[in-house]
Amino acid sequence: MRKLETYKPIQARVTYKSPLKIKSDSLQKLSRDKRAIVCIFFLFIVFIIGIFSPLLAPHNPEELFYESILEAPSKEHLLGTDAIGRDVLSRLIYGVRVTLTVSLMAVTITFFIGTLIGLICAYVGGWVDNVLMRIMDILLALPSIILALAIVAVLGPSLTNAMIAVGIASIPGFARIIRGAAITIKSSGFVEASRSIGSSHSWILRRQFLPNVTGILLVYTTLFIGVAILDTAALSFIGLGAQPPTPEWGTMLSEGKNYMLDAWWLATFPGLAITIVVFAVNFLGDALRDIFDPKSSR
Amino acid sequence: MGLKHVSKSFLLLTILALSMILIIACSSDSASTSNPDKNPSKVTSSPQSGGTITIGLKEEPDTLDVHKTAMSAASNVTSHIGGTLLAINPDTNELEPYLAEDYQVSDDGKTITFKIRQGVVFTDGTPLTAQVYKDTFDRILNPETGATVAASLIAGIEYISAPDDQTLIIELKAPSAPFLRNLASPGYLQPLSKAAIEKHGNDYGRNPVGAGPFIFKEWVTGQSITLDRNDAFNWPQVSSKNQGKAYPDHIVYKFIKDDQTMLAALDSGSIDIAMGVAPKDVQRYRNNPKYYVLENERQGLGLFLEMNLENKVLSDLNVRTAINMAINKDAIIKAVINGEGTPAYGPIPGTIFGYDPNVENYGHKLNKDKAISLLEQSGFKKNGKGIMEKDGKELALELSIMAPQSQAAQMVQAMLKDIGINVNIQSMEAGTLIEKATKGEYDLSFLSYSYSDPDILFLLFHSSQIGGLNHVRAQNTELDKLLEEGRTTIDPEERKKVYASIQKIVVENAYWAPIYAEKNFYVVNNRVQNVKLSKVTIEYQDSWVQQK
Repeated sequence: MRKLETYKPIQARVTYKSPLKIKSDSLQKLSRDKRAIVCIFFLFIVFIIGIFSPLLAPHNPEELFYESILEAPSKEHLLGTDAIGRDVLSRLIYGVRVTLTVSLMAVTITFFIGTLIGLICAYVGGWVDNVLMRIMDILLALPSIILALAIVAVLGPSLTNAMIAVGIASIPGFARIIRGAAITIKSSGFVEASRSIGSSHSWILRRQFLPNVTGILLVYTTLFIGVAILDTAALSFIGLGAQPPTPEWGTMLSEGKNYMLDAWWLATFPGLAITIVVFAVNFLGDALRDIFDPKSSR
Repeated sequence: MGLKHVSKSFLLLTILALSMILIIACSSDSASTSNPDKNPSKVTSSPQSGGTITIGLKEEPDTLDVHKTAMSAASNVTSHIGGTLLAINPDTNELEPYLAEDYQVSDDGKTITFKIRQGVVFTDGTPLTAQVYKDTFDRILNPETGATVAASLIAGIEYISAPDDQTLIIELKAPSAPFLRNLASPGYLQPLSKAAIEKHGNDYGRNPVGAGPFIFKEWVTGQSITLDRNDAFNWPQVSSKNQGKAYPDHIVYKFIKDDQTMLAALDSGSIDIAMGVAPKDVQRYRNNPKYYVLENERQGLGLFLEMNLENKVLSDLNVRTAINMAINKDAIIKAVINGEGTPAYGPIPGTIFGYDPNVENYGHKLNKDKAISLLEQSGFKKNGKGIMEKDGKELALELSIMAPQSQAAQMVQAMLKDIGINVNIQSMEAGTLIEKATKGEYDLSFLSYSYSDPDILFLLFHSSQIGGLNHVRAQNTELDKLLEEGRTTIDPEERKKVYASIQKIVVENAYWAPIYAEKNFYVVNNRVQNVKLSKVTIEYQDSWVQQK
């Protein structure tokens, strides 16, 4: 019930304004929000680094430098080398690719299945809603990382499976939020009007439901990217995600933790990278929420 | 002929004990060095009674019934609550009397007569007699007991008799070179009180009774095991300076799995001795006058690569040799064990009897170009991606490892990629790895072993051991014959020659890519004085706790 309450004002808005109007309105707000701009800019740079990592990285991330094992940051190796002589900076840069790919793919899975389940529950209602939501409730009872662990345990440890596991593990939360937002639209006047003139179900879902939950979708998709990055890193940390020698931040962190006292740079840099990127993603998500959720807007 | 009858699961457990568990009890070397001389001068020179020695153990034993365990953690704990017939002098590494005052080996080498020491009493009051030893060994050899390591140590026994309280006669099936040293294995072969076993039944493993310097007091699952001093004890092994009861009141073992937590406990003083400290962490303590470091070399190989001969690609000697030549052992030693080890070129290290130093000359050395040309001789060609290819198939192998070997695995992966072999690392639990290796369901696999005698090569390479420890599935008649000879040859010089030929065959056939033999480290707080590392165990008989 509380969720429903939260999104009520959206319904009020929606009934008075066309969806298109909301969009241009929000873009304007976004461009005025400095922190959002900074985050978007930062994430854009991270993205560019990911795309051009072969050009940017000083070394091959899998190359072993036998002569400089566990070397502190120096000119040759700006962020030092790891326990078996690989360049930390290069691994970090290539790690961007892995991290972004995995988290975006995971969120895509969450996004499509979660939205579908959420909208169907809201639109169909009745026993379909009840059954689907009870299943989601059961899954929600487990922390998402435990669920992801269980899925990886079944599928076997690999990056692709980690991607699938993290994606699936986030579905229940996502579906619940979308359902909450969509259920308020169901009872609105324009939906009833469309129904009474005989519009098809798919038309109503596509043209009336979807546009009205776009804001919420955007906010939560962004926030879930942060969650996905963390979950992927966590799975890799315990050895169930990226397999060696793939440069992945969680794996690097895990390999570095045994050297905390001897080689601080091993765990520090991947740790910082995860923190900063997740921080930026969450900040952006918060900014978007302020814009799309009128209740919390200033 | 010892171990032939032993079942698969038994071998599985044996290697679990032999190879992967933190090797404390079974490990060691001929040059075991302790350096308490470096200790600062504030320490008094005369031993004091009282106090507690607290030891950090990485693993919790499964049971303290020495016949049913295969864990070196269990043998380590139980070695202090019981004795052995013979013991090893920590300074000279020679055999010396302990619970047997004296022994005689018959001319044919098959009959050994022991004279049991008098006045030895179990902590439940039963006296130690030859009959007790016979009962103990009978229990080990009884298949219903399910004995694993203990059974493998005395597997050569044909018949035991105890004509009187002091005389124990052991008849062997065949002369056995390693048998007497096996009897000195700490923990596993201690005499057990029959009364205590009958009293506790299945709970005996949680209530062990022995005739050693300490008495089992309590075991808090997941936390610790506490031993109290046995005040009646006055029968230590001959070389101990202290011929009476031990000095400390208690010994406490705390189970600490994580390396960093173990060191933090050592730093904070909540443990006095850290077992199995990683080489990279040792340096810190060497330079700190508050601690002293004990070290010994592993009796066995700390890391080697097994190759499955039943794999189509690996059945080609050229491929196996190429893999041997692609591995940079020095780089792995430097990175993985901080340089604290020696590269291995053959299947046994210098610490095991029969090691042929010549192996360093004929063993495979790092030679990338030769490795590549060997692969090319076998019809492989580098493709566009730099990977070797034959008949349109890329040369790809799977390397099975346990999580702690990940660093070495990634290095080997990179090294083999350099000569065009794609390696995919599969990390798994120890049990799964051994099961797969035993069944031959693997391509490449990392493993380690510890053993006191070159007879381990019989288990590792004899064709009768396929389905057991012969993971590479070697079937070589010449090698089989030599391995059988090595078991029964008693004359040391002859035996050395046999094992020299065995090493040569194993290296020439490149069944393994041996990588290194490393050192084991124990860091001891200065508070505890005179801790000794013998060839087979860590000794507290002469140790005392510095009182404030």
